[in-house]
Amino acid sequence: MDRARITSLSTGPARIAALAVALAGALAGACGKKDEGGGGKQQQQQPAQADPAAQASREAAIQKWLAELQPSTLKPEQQLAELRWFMEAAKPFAGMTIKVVSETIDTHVYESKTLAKAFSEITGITVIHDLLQEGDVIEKLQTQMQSGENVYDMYVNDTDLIGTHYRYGHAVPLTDFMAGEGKAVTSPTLDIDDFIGLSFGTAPDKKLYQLPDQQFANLYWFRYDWFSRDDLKKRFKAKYGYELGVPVNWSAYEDIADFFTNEVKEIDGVRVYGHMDYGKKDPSLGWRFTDAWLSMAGVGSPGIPNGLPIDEWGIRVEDCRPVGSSVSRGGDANSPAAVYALNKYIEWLKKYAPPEATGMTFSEAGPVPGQGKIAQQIFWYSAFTAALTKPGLPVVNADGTPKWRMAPSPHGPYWEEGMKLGYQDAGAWTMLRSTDLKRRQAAWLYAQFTVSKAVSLKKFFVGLTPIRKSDLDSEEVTKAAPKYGGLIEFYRSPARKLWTPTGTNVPDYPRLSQLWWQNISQAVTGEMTSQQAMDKLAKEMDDVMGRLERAGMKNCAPKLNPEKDPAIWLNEPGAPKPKLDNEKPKGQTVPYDELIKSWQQQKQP
Amino acid sequence: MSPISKRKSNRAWLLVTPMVMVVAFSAIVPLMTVVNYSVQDILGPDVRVFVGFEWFRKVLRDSELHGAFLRQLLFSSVILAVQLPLGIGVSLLMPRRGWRSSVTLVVLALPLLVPWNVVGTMWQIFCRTDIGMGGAALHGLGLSYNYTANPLDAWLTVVVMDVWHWTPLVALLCFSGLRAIPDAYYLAARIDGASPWAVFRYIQLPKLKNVLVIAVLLRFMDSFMIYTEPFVLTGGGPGNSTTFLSQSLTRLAVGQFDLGPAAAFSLIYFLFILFFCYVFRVIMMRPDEGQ
Repeated sequence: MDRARITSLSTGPARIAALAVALAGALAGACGKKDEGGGGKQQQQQPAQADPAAQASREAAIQKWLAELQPSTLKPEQQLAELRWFMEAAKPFAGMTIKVVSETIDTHVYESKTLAKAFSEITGITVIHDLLQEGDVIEKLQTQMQSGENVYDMYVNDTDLIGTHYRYGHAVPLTDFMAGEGKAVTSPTLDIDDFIGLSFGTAPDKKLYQLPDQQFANLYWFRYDWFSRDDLKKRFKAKYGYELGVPVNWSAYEDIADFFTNEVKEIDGVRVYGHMDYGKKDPSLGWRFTDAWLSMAGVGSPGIPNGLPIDEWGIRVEDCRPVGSSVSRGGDANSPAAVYALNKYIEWLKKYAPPEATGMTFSEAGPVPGQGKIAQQIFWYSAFTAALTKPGLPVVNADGTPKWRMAPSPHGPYWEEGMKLGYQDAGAWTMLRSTDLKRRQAAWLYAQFTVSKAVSLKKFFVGLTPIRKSDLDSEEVTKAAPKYGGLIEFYRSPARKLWTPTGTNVPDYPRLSQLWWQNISQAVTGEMTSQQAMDKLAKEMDDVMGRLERAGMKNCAPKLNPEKDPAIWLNEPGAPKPKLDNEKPKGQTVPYDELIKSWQQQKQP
Repeated sequence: MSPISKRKSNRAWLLVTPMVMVVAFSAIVPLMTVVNYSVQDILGPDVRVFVGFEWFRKVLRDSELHGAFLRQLLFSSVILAVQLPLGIGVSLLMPRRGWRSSVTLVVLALPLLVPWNVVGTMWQIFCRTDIGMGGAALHGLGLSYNYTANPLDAWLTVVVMDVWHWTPLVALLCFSGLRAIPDAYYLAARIDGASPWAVFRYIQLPKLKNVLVIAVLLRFMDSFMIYTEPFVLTGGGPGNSTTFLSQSLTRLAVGQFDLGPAAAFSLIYFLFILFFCYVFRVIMMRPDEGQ
């Protein structure tokens, strides 16, 4: 995910890094007076006066864009009324230029290229919607938080950062904003309860800080056509003693991986693999773990959306204060379950994935299942759904339906009922206090536009990242469901509540997440054992939390537990759990069609 | 003859003042900012804690940074050991005059024109065993090669990439040095019946000394600060095997936004560079033997 980062860093090696330090210092130090406008010349622009010609042009724009924004869950007159509301509410800001940023996925590309243009024509507010790699979005956000200087007027930032936003106090609580200084620019038809991922962006103070703009989950992905072949089913049962199907536990996943990579080897003349992953030393390697991998193995405590008192990062909290991630402080990041999770990642990557996977990043590995040589992937981001449904791909039938399906991810032996089962996140609109109020208000209008009912169903069909219940329940989505390989069934089922993002236990996501990929990459090569890597990671996380404790935070700052013998914590009930005698119980699978039926029979949440 | 007497004048200071101002703003102010940062734990614009020399102690004791430093020294040494003889060899083989000389110069300069991140991307693809010509060829020969998983393969790939990228610079510098040797030297050598080796040893090599010092200086400094190519090719991996100093610093300063430790690291890194610059300066300023 770092090509943009490469461009920005390629002008000089260490000099740039040092310069960044110096520049940030110069900005933070020299700019005692904040540029309240944050936008230089743009800020000096005067709002356009009521102008009949401009009004007529905006009306015409609404009519023009109505055709683009189909289908919609709204009736035509409701859709028209909602767009007109944006036009009216934006009048005090007409002529302004706002800047927002998001990562580069289909949904945001559509926003940047189409919706931003539509919004500009309808409202007279020019929108620059930048697209960066996810890591770079966080870097920009971090720059604004560190310097207090406006970089973007709003960010589409993953709700993984909710714990950070809440504790540092840099983000504006949208609940307060909508009721206070942003009331006049909050759409009466926003229908906040219609969003499916609100809990992700809600902090321990019960206030919403991040409004979902797109949502995706990490699910199990497999070749339904291969799993349905009688010859393969017979061979699998003969070797492993149970049916080939959707794996319920990691033992079954491992068996299926072994089966396709080492037993089947070739299908229709193509070398096939039973597993796909990525392992390049890169920030995206950290996501592979912080995106709930440990909790799938069984790290953490029961609790939805995130385990309490220990979450999927292995961080224990007491009264909302993080108290440690090492087992010696009551955490879980270097427990037997965590070490098992890392071991399995490394073992499967080396034994069952294509050899080139070790050198790939998240974005390089994402499209690989679409090339037709991967039988299953335990950790597959549904954000790639749109990319894997394109006609002509080896994994798409001639009639446009996929040869693959998505299903719930299997869990490891340490997992227990009541724990989260996977990762689901929402890229969510986030505004910072350091942005001038007027710019925030204008940007908030655009943010609402991109998630409004007038727009959201059309956006869903472009990017397949649902955010509204009304879209998921719509007839159009029901008709299209067979093309999306189980995505709709997943989102309509209550099961989706078991997939959640990084929780509020993590006090500083940007700093702590950097520690993961660096330590894990050393375990991948064998420079360290998995235990050593997780020990070091847990210690480094505790060190950072210790610094946060020393410096203080606005809300719920960490307060580290004193270290004590890890055995004491391991012998207490709940997490951290002691090592299991048998980490590979018998494999267990379930037929996919039965699973889907059970989802369909359950009521929507 | 008596020495010319000069009158002292302070007006010269006025003339250098603009330069002093420029240097102050471009170098001293940023440097002092970094010094300021290096003694603080900065977690936000309003959240700063004075920590004294804590970051310096931490950086100096950090085993990963020690590893990165040793790898950096080893990398620069290997690069110099390969690129200098190779560059001299290539320059000796280059046609001296005519259109062949022009074509050779252009071809040789091509790798130098490729942006650094493109070099990394090219080699990343070239060395992949599934779609890359180089990686697939090695596999075809039965060699077990995977630069993404094997540290030795990763090292060899980074070194070969750098040799491809920068040996032309050494060759071009040497070529210019060779062209500067007057024909009279070669004529004298021919009259004396000197062998090609003797010509190289006693005429060409001594005359190349100055350009070689520049080549060593440039290649050492550049290789000591290498960042982009290995960042793109290996990301510093597998593990830490190709993580060099600048990559560690960038990760700390830009990735992790840990400004305090990054500032301390920057200063220590800066002192290293300063030290090596001083050493090179001393070598360059030494008068030639026999003069």
